[in-house]
Amino acid sequence: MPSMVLCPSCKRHVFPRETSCPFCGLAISAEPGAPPHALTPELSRAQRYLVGAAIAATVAVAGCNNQPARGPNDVQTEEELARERQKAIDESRERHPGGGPCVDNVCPPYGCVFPDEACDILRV
Amino acid sequence: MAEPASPETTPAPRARRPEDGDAPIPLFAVWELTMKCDQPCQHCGSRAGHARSAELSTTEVLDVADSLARLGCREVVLIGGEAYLREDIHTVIGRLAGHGLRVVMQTGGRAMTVERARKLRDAGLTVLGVSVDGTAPIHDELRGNRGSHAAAMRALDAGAAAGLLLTANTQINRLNMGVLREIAADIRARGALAWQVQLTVPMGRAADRPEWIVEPWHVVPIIDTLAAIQREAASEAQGKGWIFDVVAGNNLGYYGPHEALLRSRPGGQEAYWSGCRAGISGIGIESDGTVKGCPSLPTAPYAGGNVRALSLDAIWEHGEALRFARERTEDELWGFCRTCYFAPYCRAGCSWTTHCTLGRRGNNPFCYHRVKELEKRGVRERIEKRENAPQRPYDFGLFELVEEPLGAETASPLTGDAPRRRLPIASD
Repeated sequence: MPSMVLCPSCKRHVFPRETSCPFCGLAISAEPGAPPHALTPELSRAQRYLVGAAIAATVAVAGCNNQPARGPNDVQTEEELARERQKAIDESRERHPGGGPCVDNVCPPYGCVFPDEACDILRV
Repeated sequence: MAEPASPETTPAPRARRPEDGDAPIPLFAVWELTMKCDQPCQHCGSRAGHARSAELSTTEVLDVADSLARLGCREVVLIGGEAYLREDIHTVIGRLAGHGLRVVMQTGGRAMTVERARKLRDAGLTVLGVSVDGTAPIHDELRGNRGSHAAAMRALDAGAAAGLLLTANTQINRLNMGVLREIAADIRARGALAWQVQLTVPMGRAADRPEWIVEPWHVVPIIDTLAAIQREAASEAQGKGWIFDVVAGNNLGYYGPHEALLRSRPGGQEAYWSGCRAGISGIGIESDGTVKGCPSLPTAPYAGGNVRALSLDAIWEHGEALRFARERTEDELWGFCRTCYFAPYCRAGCSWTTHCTLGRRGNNPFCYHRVKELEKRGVRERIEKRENAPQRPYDFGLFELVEEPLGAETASPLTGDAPRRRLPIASD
């Protein structure tokens, strides 16, 4: 499963290939396809908050582009989706050698996470 | 939000580890040990009360426990009915714990005394989860049992006295969606470490109470409130150890601004909804030996086999109805979900919820992202009941999706006549 990343401004999940957030329009990467450094899991929540706030402040000063490059519900072709998936997988593997973000931390219908467990075992 | 402290941790049993690879493994099982129950809950999905006529014997249950361990299971949640009403409960827990599995019990708690909790702990139980569905009047109304809320609170106290880890579960519906803060306060005051919240689904007796089921657009204020509760808990807990964890259940989401907050452990690595794991990482077992990919799934369309006829290993590997989440593609999506931005990841959210509501997987109106997208078009969806459930365990009726203008507040949930457009129940 390719990983998604969080937009630091609106906190919505987006595909890693996005160069701007389809929900708020924030430019989230300088280079198409490059991992947005503000979103790496190595940063703490507080750090991400600070980085996000800084970006948001910059955007606010510079003028935010509210027009998403692509509508969040635009239909994609199978070919496009397949390309994006492969690209996301490749990027994820580069960023997370040996694993990716914990995307399999699904709760059973009954039961919760507990204080002695961690969601830090990465899924290959 | 303030940076929370990270407690000492070990790998979560149910998290997939690198050595697990991508192969389907029943990492966590939810096991209905008996249908016998000491409460007549009016929203019970399995219509529990009396034991089934042919529940597994102790020998059969222990065989299944051995099979789960052999298949790689690492955590078992025991449910009912009331699991503690089985006379062999301590033997069953002991066998599971002896295999190194984490054993959890989810209970309504009506008869959970300190003595009972201690015996369960001594047998190998690690965690006690208590269902709390409202403030006292609302909880008792939902349970159909006066004094039920007080009993649930006593159960939490008993679990704490016995040294068990405590959690609580809440089904969110129209009766209790306005008292989420009160519920959180009650369970936190009694030491619950985590709170799993999910929507009441129109299955079993809840299908007979359509007026209790939330409308799709209700998920936005519900999730916003839960996120606020989580943020406040994190802020209050800074430097004081474990942070009360609000955990979005599998049918509460998806991909809104609080997705990471409510699906990740405070201070832990970010997680997000990645699709139904029924038959991939999860397995459900009914007390007569019927096996499903998830215990909540309706029995008729999702029974993959019975352990009295086939080995659990064979059912897990070959059971046709267990394989749907492994093999399905986006082709099964329909309606809004078919063209959604998140379709490759989400696959229409919780299979149980969608099937029990619209009669088929693949289109989920109970979605934060969807509600907000429809809001931009000036519309919203609601559900109207069309068919009753046939009054069997884990059964469901049929609802129809209706699209209407935003702000059509005066329309009755069941008989409203505001301007609207009927959407197909199922479409390709």
